[in-house]
Amino acid sequence: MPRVCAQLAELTAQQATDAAQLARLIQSDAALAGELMRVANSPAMRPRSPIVSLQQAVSWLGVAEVRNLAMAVMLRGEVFNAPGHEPESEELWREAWLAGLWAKEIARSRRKHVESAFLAALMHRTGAALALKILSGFEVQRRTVMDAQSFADLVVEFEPAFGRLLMSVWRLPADVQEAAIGWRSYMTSSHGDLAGTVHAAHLLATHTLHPQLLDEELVMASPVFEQLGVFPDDRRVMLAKRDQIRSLAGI
Amino acid sequence: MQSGDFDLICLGSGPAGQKAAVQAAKAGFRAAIVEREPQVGGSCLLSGTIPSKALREQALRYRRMQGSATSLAVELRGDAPLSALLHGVDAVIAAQDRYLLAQLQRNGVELIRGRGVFLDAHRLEVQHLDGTHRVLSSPRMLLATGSRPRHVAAIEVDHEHVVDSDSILSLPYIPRSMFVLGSGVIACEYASIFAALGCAVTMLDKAAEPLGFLDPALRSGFLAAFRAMGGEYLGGSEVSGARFDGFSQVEVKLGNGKSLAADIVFAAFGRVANLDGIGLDRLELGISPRGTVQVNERFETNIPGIYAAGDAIGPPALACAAADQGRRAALAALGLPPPPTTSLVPSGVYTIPEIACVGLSQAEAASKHIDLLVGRADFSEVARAHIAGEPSGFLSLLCERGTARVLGVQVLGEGATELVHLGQAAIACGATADFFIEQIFNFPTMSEAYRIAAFDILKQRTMPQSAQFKLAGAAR
Repeated sequence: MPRVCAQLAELTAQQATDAAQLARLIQSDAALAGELMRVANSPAMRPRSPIVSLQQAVSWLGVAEVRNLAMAVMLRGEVFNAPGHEPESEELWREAWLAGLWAKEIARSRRKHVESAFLAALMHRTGAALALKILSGFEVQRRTVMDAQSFADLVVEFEPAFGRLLMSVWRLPADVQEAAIGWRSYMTSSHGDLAGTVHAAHLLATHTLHPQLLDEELVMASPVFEQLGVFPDDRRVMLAKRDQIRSLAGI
Repeated sequence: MQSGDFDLICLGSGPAGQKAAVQAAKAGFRAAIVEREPQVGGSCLLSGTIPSKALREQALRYRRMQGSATSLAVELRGDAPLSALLHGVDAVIAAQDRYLLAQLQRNGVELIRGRGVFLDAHRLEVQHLDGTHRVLSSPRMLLATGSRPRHVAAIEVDHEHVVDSDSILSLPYIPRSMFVLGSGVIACEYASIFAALGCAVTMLDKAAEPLGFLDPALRSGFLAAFRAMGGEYLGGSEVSGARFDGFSQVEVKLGNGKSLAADIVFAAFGRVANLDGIGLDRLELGISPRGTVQVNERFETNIPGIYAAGDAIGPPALACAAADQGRRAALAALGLPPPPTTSLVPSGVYTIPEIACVGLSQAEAASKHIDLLVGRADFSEVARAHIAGEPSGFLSLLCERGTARVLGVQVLGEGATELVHLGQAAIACGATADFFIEQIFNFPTMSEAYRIAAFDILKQRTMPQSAQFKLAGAAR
């Protein structure tokens, strides 16, 4: 895990922290600082007046949100970043980030704590992103370009192993790891509820990004919502938050 | 009475609904359960009784390991994810779910998954998760919809910074500090569990002491154990609001103008019956001021043919009581004779340490002018308690002074909820304290506490009355 992120995790989890301490640390990472300022000023966060300093942004967003953002920015910079395959990396990133935000909504509506759901959904494409990055590095090193189908097949093949490796190195909770890896087969996952949440969040994220590919009716009809016990009228209430989620994600 | 698709439809598959349907089916009637959750068992199985007890077991193990770690020169990590502590709970729930499903199937109870909404007193529209609908009819309906955490207007539960007894179980990590708002059973159970796990827990409530329905010795015993684990109880605290400070803490405002801050706030204001969205507005059903369904002694509501049981009708809101009520409601609804009634319902509080009572309390005895002898056994005198490493706690035997008949039992300490059943059997059989002296129990066992308490009763009975008064005065 990059230094700033590791220090942030340490600072936010293990000791009494103040906004000034966090702001000083974040200053050393331009990408994180920029993202924090953007989110703090976004309409979804409804700042009373424009936020002009990092310390103000940290105070406004709170420790949990800063930690989530730091994780997201770190992932984007370190993992969702495959030279030569930038559009695919960006697409995976947008899916992951939106899924994280949707997962929070799903968890809240089911009277579950939101943090594990957010983290598992945010991480659910890291295996694919890392595979993409490593394979693209291989192409650069060998000065070769694989055919698109073989490349895609390899990403699919390595996604679970790379995802598991990364999350175990980062010592994420076991349920988060299992859900982030096993979300496609949520019905047989040992953490089926969390994996189902990630699956549903993935569908909602895909719908938010590409409504023409996955329309509202298809999302509504997904059996994952039955597994989670979310009734059709509750799904509609959830989908009505689409613009709010999009605004929060900056997409 | 007109016939329908079923002879009895139970709304909800918790202990009340499930036992009612099985009882009806066993008696040869067509029974169905309508359940809105993906699994059967109600909140007892999915978000209440079972998961919280599993977490409690882990907290106990953690505490015991902490005790052993020093002697074994082992360092324990204090930052274990809560999910790791709940490891195995999903398997317990799945096993129970399978068992309950098999029981329903074996007895021919039809399980209909969906949200039931009353169209009238005898017709129920079931909205399925796939969006389809079906109308069921029956001359008899049982409301066994259970309960959910009660929320109050001043405290917004966001399931992130302010949690309730549903979302507390999916916290990713054990917080560093927690305020528990409330002083009832659920508040005390979670407060003691998180304190045992190393979280700095402060309970805030207007009551001077927690668990106000218990006798003073049990209350003070719990409080002493809670404080020994680092917990704090601030009685006389009126909480007027709780708000995330937008940074790292939740600020709790007290009525006296002061404010305090912690990582997480657990709002434990009791439970409220699940009666929303099921079409009760069409029925003019009698609802109490506390929001529970009003029933008579046969568990029938003011609307003929509609019965209610379990948490939906309010206290005691215990799983064991709900199961019994469900059975009785089914028998009453189907015109079958009820089994003999018993007022002996044990109550178990799964705090650390456990608390259990059955029969008469000292307060009830005083209000009924019953002269009591209280025999006490401290667990420090029980060999098995030392072997188990849990030598704190006590058992009190409450006996009628003249006859020594056992009228009540109170236990505080590990295994209390099991230990109380021996006393319950003695009360049910009309036994006296002498029963525990005459019988031979295994040794070493916790049941030895009954003998010790019975000898204490014997000592008081053979003591001159003047000395007894002195003793009673000293106990107060």
